[in-house]
Amino acid sequence: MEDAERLRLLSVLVDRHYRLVYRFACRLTGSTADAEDVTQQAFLTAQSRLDQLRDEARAGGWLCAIARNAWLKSLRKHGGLITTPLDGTDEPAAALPPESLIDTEALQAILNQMPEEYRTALILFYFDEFSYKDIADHLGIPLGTVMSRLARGKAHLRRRLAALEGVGSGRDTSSHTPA
Amino acid sequence: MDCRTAREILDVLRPGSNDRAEPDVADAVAHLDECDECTLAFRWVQSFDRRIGRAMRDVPVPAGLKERLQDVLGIERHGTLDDAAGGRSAAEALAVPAAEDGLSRNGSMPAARTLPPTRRPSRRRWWTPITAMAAVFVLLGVVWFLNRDRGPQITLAQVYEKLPFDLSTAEPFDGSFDPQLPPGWAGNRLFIDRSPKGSDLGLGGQHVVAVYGFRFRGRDGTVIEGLLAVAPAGVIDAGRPLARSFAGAESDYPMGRTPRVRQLAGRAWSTGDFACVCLVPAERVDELVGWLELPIG
Repeated sequence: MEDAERLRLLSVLVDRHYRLVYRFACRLTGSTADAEDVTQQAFLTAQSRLDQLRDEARAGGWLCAIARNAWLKSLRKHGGLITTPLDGTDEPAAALPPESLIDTEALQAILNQMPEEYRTALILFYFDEFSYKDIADHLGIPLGTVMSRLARGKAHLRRRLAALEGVGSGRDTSSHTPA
Repeated sequence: MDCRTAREILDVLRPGSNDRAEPDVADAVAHLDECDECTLAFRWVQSFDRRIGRAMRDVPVPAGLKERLQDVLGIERHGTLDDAAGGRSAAEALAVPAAEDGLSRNGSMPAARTLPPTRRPSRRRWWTPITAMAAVFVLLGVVWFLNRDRGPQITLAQVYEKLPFDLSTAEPFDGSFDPQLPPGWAGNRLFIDRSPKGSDLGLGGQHVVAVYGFRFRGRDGTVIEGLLAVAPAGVIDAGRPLARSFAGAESDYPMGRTPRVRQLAGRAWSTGDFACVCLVPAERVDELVGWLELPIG
């Protein structure tokens, strides 16, 4: 790829995806300052790997994957995260009121506490750029493991958010005993 | 397939995506046709996922971030592809000059060259005018292609503002394209007028969008009405990349209109060939998504 072509492609990628990458990085790192660093690093890395981008329709996911790797590299340098394990209970999660708004700060606080493998799977899932198969490919784990992490991660999110909302142990139709 | 297995599989399907079309999940989706409880549970999970997804993606982007990235990457700052209302398309912004002879790589004209006072004719000179003529024809073709009549560029805000609420007096669609309903909207669960009306959105002249009125029954039994507008991709400038489905799209809350009932939510998405815009009462958006995502029975 010629230099001018590379620059044009990079310019298009920045134009179209910088918001997505930044938002993704923000949720991953929990910090706006770190998110901007990660975003910058992601595009710098992408600049040197443009030949690897085969399908521009998947550029968003590709850039998010690069951003995640950049963040993990930075984590390893600085000693990792302090997280708490997910709730071990299998009790049904309380149901959120159907019309309740999700407090984004509360959401980030919950994400910050989650072990990295669950947090990453959830963020990849909710940013809509990765199917569960893509998540498995990107994380290098079996499909069953992805499904388990997403299920446990989502249940944990529901419990924590419901607890913050002050909702009692209402019936969660997603987890009652199936027929 | 038993309920537990079906729910485990369905739990990882992203709302509004094509995940349900994956072969592995076909059995789980088929199970929904036989099990009302699992259907209810699936709708609940999808509703939760949509809300979490919106909250997850709801992150303010700092002003000037793009410019800082451009500076670090050595990209020249210019009018952005998605900022300029009615601006140039990505194709125009990325157009590479077709001819190499006489044009530099970045599209700018080089300074005029001064010929030496005496010059012997070269044997190779005969191909120069032919190449130049070919280049001119190719360039004209590119210019024609880029400026072909795709309809006027309009902003999403203009669409929200000018979409007619009352379709009873609107004319049948008579625009220059063949409108198609987006996937999932043509099923029998949603009552939609199959013959669209047309609107010029106040621009005068031909119809630039095809407008469908639709109705569905809310959870409380009320009949909910909404509008769906369809235009060729590239005609509507949303100022942001568009989601691939109604469910995955951001909700806008257009100001300046007098809604018939409470506040309206607008959503814009792209099917590839068409840009679609929907207006529906804001508190009914989730219900509409639920209708669109159910398997068509």
